[in-house]
Amino acid sequence: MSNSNSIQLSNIQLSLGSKQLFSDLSVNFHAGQHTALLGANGAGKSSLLKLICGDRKQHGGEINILGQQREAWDKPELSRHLAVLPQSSELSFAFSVSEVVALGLLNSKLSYQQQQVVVKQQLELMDIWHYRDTPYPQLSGGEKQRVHYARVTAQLATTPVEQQILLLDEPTSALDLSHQQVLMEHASKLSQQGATVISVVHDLNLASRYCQRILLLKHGEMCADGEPEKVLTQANIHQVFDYQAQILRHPEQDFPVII
Amino acid sequence: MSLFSPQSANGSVFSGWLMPAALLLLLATALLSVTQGPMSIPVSDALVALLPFEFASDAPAHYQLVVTGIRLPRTLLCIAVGAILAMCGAVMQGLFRNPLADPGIIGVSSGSAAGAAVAIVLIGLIDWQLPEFVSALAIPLFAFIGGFVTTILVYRLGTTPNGTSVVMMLLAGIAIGALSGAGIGLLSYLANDQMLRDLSLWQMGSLAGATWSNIALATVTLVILCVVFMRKAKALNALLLGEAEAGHLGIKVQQLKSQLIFFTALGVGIAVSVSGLIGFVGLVVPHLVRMLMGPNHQRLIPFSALLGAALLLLADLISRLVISPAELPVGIVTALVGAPFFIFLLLQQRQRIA
Repeated sequence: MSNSNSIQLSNIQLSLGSKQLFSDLSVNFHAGQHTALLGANGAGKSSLLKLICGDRKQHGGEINILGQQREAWDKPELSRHLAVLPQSSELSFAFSVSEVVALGLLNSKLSYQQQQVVVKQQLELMDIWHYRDTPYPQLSGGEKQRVHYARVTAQLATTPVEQQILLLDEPTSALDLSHQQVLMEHASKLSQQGATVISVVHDLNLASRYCQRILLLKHGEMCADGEPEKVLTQANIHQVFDYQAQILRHPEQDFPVII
Repeated sequence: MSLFSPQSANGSVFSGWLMPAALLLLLATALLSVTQGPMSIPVSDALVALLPFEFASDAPAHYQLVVTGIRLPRTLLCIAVGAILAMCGAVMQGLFRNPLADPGIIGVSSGSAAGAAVAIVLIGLIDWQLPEFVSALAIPLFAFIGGFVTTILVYRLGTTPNGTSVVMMLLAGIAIGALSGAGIGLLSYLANDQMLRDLSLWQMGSLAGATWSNIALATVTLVILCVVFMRKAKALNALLLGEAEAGHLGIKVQQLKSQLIFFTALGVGIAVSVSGLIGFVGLVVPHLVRMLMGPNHQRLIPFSALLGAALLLLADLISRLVISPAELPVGIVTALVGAPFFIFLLLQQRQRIA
């Protein structure tokens, strides 16, 4: 890797049906940074994640991941570097919770015992170790989300942290207040250790608190890009969400609070 | 919820007592199949008859003929067909991420049956003076081609640029099933009495026609399927998360799906060609195995094979015994058990949706 740009998107074009979403989008993401993608529905946040992970193919332009064109990556190899937390999962078969997390280690070269160690760590981290033998379909929506977060972090566990890329698509939408904090705090800790983390979030305050960088998208265009203080302004929020926000400062920690 | 968690310290799915138990069950049903029937043969005499060398015994001489000439081929074919059908069911359910998917439901079985019907009627109508082995192979070949063409057609209909739509594929299966049924109906008007009997026997499924060439065909298929499916078991587990998620885990999803479709079509085509339409084995058996030990394909596939063989042996035994000395087509027995089971599963799904 020549620089800290772990993901580079250059001159990306993407149309969804007859509608052009991205006409010429270029953006880089950096290792060691937790970036939030913000914007109204249909702004292109999820599409951007899908382009990076390969679920969608761009109609023009180039995507580089860890210094290599995305198309040139060997799929199992890439899966050890890049993990995606989906908004929701269609899993309906009665795997136990620890079996679901172990699916993240499908392509790892770990022995069974080593895998079990990783699974245990991730489950304890997300506070669901006590559910390890519970059939997955019996969990609540938020618990399922935590199981999948444990699965995707397990997927990256054998890779040096600077080469980990974690894409989170609305990671906190099903979670209660305290587990929202647990998850975002963990994701931010990973980024501080050197991982690249990109989250699609709807809660501006979670983004403000836990992300070092915010990308504000509107109709496939980038409206603002930078630190939360610079991006989360009244004018920007009004432009993107058509909402008159009040910006305060958090009384103890120094980040903007939007109400 | 699974009743057992047979995951041992080293993670092997074959350790513990479940695998020996399943093997024992298969052995016991096989022994029943060899010894029981319109004429009951003592186990010891049956075992003596199975010995590959002459053994001085005072058992009646015709035991030898019944055991090695009739019951052993039938038992072996039963094992191969039961294992193939149950494994193909398990794999298709994984492929469609739906426990209701079954070779019968996506139309592969009916496609195979239509192929077989074409062969039966054509050979009878044209009345070529074909060598016997050609006409013997024509029905399996046509059944396989019918099943394979059906699968490709269903696959094409169900595939969009963004991946495979399970709903489209199932609907396409229903449509092609109807088409095959109409085709067979049409052929039955061209058929004479003998062909009609063959056709209807075919559609109900029977293991009475066990020949050594059929057994060899089914056994080779079984071995190939075991190897392929076990190698794909982990990827199938990932596929249950959804196609996109499996892709994120490094699985080449389109390639995996094509391979699984090819090999399930092969399995079902061969099974139908040697034994006719035997429904619901592929639905009931994997379901029972999942209830016992969870959905992990590394366990599901081998245990489905063993249990599928054992259950088809039992069904075949029932078909031979209930109206003895005549016999029922085994497809009627499996449908009598399987169809209510299918309705029970539908009710469960309905409650889950409601």
